[in-house]
Amino acid sequence: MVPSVRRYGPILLAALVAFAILGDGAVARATPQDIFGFGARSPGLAFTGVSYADDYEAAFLNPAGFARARRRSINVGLSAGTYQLSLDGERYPAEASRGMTIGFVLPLPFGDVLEDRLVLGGGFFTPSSVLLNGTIHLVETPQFNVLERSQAAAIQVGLGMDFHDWVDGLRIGVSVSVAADVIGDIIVRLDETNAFSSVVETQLVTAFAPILGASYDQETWGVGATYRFELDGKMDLAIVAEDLPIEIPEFFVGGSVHYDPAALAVEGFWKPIDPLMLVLQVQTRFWNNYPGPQRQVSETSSHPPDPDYSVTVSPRVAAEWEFVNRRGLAGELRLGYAFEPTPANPAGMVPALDSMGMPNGDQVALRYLDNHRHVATLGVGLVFDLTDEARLTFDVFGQLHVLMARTHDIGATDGAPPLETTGNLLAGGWVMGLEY
Amino acid sequence: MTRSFTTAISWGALVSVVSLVFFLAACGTTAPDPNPPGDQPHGGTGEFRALTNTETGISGTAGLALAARKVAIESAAALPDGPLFYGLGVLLEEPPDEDPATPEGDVDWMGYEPRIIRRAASREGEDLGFIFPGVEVLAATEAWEMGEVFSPWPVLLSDGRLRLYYASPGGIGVAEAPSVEGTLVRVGGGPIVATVGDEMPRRPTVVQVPGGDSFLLYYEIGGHLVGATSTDGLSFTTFADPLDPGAFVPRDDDDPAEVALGGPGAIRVDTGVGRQLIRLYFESRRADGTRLLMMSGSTDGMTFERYEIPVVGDEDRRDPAPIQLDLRTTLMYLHGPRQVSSRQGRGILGTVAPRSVELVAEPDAGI
Amino acid sequence: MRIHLTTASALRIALWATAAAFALVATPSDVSAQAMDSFGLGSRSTAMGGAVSAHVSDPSANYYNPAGIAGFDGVQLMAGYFYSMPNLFVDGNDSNVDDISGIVFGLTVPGSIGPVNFAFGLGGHLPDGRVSRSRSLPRRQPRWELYDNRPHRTLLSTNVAVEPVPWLRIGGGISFQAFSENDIHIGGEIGLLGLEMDTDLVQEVDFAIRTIRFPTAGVQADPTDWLSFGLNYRGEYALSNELIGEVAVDLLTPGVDPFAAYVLIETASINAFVPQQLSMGTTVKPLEGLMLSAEVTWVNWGSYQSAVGASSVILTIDVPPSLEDLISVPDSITPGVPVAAEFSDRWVPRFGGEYTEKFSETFSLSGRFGYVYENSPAPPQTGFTNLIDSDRHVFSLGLGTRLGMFRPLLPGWVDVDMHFQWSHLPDRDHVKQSPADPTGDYRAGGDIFNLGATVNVGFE
Repeated sequence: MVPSVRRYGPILLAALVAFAILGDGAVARATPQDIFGFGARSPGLAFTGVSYADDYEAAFLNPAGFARARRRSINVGLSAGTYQLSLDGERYPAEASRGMTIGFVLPLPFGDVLEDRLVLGGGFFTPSSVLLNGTIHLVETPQFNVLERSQAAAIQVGLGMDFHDWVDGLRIGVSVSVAADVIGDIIVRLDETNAFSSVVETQLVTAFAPILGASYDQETWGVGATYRFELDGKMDLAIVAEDLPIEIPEFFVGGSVHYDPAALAVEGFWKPIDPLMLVLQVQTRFWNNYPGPQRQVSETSSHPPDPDYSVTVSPRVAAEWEFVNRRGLAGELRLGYAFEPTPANPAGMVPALDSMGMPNGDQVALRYLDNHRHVATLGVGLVFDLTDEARLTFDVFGQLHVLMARTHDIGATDGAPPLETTGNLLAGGWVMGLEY
Repeated sequence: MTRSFTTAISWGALVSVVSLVFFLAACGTTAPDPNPPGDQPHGGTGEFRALTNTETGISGTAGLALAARKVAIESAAALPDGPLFYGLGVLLEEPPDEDPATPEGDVDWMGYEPRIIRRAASREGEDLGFIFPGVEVLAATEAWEMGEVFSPWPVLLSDGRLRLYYASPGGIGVAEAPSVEGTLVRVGGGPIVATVGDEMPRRPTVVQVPGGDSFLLYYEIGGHLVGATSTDGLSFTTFADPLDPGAFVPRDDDDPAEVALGGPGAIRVDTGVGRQLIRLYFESRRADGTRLLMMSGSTDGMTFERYEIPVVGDEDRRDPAPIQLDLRTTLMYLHGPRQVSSRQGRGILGTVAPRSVELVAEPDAGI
Repeated sequence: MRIHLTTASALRIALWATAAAFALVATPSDVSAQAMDSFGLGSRSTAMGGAVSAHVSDPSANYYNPAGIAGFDGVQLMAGYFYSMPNLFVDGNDSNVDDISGIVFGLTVPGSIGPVNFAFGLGGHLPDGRVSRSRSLPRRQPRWELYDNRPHRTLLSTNVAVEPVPWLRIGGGISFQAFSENDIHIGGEIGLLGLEMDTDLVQEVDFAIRTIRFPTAGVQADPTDWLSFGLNYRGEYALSNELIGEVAVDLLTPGVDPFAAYVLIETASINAFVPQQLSMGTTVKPLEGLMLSAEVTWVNWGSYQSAVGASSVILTIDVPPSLEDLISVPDSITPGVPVAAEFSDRWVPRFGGEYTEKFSETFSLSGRFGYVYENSPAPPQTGFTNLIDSDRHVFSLGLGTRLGMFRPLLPGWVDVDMHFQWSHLPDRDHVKQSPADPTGDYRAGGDIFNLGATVNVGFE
């Protein structure tokens, strides 16, 4: 069995890669790394990895982890997630998520005091056939803001630094996560012949969010901490209409189309016996700074209501068991559980704001929906030695997210019975890599 | 290399690499605003905008280039960097009541003294307005002129002589002066184009044929435009058919039909590639009584192609007189309605195209 | 027990590596080649007129010929900066074309499995301040079609190459480019005639930056020590900008019941088009330290899609009879239809040279030159469009040094290269068929100056 895997494995993987390249995915509807994790090992271990990541996943989990790598590697894979969200017993139309994961690690081959010091790495996730997709609904439209955040490519590049000569086991790292702001002006006018003309000037401007991390580990245990800054990709288009029969004000269209809250993750792992690793992580997300997707449309228009999201604390536990390690093949089984509390209040009536952003005494319906989630994860990792220097890795994972039923304060429409939301998410994927 | 030196370089390299990461990140936050497209060529088609008060040096109505109380001024034309020649009628001390049958915007000249032609100098500096009243250069003295002269059109000849074409109730006449400021003397004993019956020719405009030494004359008669050619600028041969400035294309179903043409003003222009064209500006008179200024272009002065959009947004602008300032800038004087002691009068307005051009910097520009 | 590969299995691994790298290059970053087409990538290659597809010795190979990355012995990291200043004029007036500047970067990581050498590479250009810019101008608006907006895009080219035998290298990649779709709906109330402060609007937006794929591929062959050949292909792509804007509001006026207004605007245009192109080049080394290169590139501008796109507008306002004098609604609005650009294919010759004097084991200097002639693919603009372009003569000079004195910290070398590139676009006359053309005749030409420097760190 194993020799035939060695023999045909590369061809099989090549076919899988070709499938990954050529397959056209459906539109995903979530910030993938925040919902499903990044890579294929961490998502099988309940999104943990802050203390032990040593490959491309460190770009998102903890860039200090890069500094553990001593070999170059490239990785590629596919992942997908489906939503079964229920709104008053009816299926909520959320599209499936699918995309490609790409990663690399490059220890910089300096000598002298920089020897084995610096490791460059990157991790990317790209939803199929799209870089960024955002939908901004009216605030009164029922919408799953947290789960339905824009479909966006994740781009993270970082540097890990190993300080083993100062403190054995100490590493720090920094990476940047990139999002795109879309800014621009659209001027439309009718000329004297009633012909339409327009000047459209838009720019994609990068928005950066640093990720800072540190880790300390010994042979059988380790700890790590990561702070990810808020990443807010905005769309900001000004629309001016000239020479129309009526004078209309300048519109400002857009809002927050891609938002990841600032987050602090603290984690530790312990290997009580050689093949077993246990992991515990606590992650705090600072959703209280979330501005909401909507924005004021013109100078005299009302401000959208404050979403009033809360800080969340998410516990994660995971275990990894090395079930085989012989004849050039190693295998690991992974299990994990995470609790993802919702930052959102139940949908309800909230104070309406005037054009200055002050409460005007009215109430408006705010139907931003979200539920607490229990997440169970499963994963398998395989490593094939190809030569003394090169090896092939293959990781696969599956996840089940169960949304705890929630009853909201208002109905889907004015006067309707209170909203009931529940559902589940299924996700899976694989990543293969070549280390050399 | 000493150990301390290599250690220093090592840490320098480390700092450099880390700095590079942050530098790359920082580069994404410094997006300069894109430049707007720069000055672009312009075919003289408009839209013309009114000159600003700063550009004319005259306060009040934007674009007003020449006006005074108790006078009606119409059908002016200027020489490049030169004076403005204009027709003027002074309000009578006790004018009769306005004829209620006078079309809206038209002047009831019965309330004014017989029209004469004056020459107004431009204001000092770069101002594109003119100083009233200037000097009288031509008044009706010949019997065929039937008492008044108006609609002057100056042409500066290559030898420095000024030739002034003008209209009168009796037809189109010509006068010459040895220089722009010289005394005008009529040429010939009668009009070069005479009034026949009720068909009075008006608003003569003359250009020299591109690349040649002959002249083209355009004028209005009976709601049509007429063209004529001449080798000496004095004796003209009229085209066989009324001048066709190109097809009228309505902007939509609500656009009133074109019922007459008039008020021509022609200019010979040099394009950026050395080609010479004739641009003919004229009034497109509509069924609802409005007048819109339009432009046609020609390579030979005889066959024209019309640009379908009016060159001036305002209605009731008449007798355009264009001047090419440079390859892309066209200055155009015309006249618009103006109240003269509660009576309908006219005043000279200055316009320029393209709209974006700034001929004289506003006082606060650049602050 | 370790597994040791046979040659056949090593080649299978190479095949896998190739496929994996093709996946790697499928990164849907905002990728483009046009800035590099005009201004080069990396000071060494730019100084040699881009005539380097047969022999490229730094990570700019990711752009010029991905096969070249398999020829490097160790990891190379390149970073640099260039600044390009267009001075383009129409009728003597500055066309205000934006400067183009930004970082260039490159990385090549070689490896081998058994007898087969392979490498992964990444290179590109990040413009200052933005990932990309798109500009859609009025249909007749004169614009320098190749320089006004098209260069303002990020280039990210990632590749893989293999060296199956010592004299042959094969490389390639698939890159993605992005285009946008915007669907905007605005509702609410707009106050008119003194009720402007009552305007209260809400929005819904559906927005996407989508991706398309295009391939790059190259081959390098070294039949002798002094002679090399290169072949490089880049695929075509075109980016469209699509916008749907819908405004459905009630209009508020004093003393009149609210009445409905509806505006629907749809526009679609091609904002950046890069034609497919095939380069064939050769490099000879007639003397020690001297390298001369010649190259010709076929550029398929004949399939160019004009930026002048389609647009349509629907405008309806239920104007009450009492306001008909104040609000005049056109009974129809003329839609915009795409206008063909009618560009032609072109053959671009490139020449370059480099002379290197090695002063010691740790110090050498190189001088470089290059020349490129690009005949304009755009026809004279005699009609509706004003897609301005002129022929381009590109002269370039460069200077480089290799420093190898940083051992043991750096087991390799550092290249510091600089370039100066002058592009001259001779005046070109555009004579309009219509004497009433609103743009009129014009003469266009100018110069573009480009300065830059790169540092390339090579590890042995």
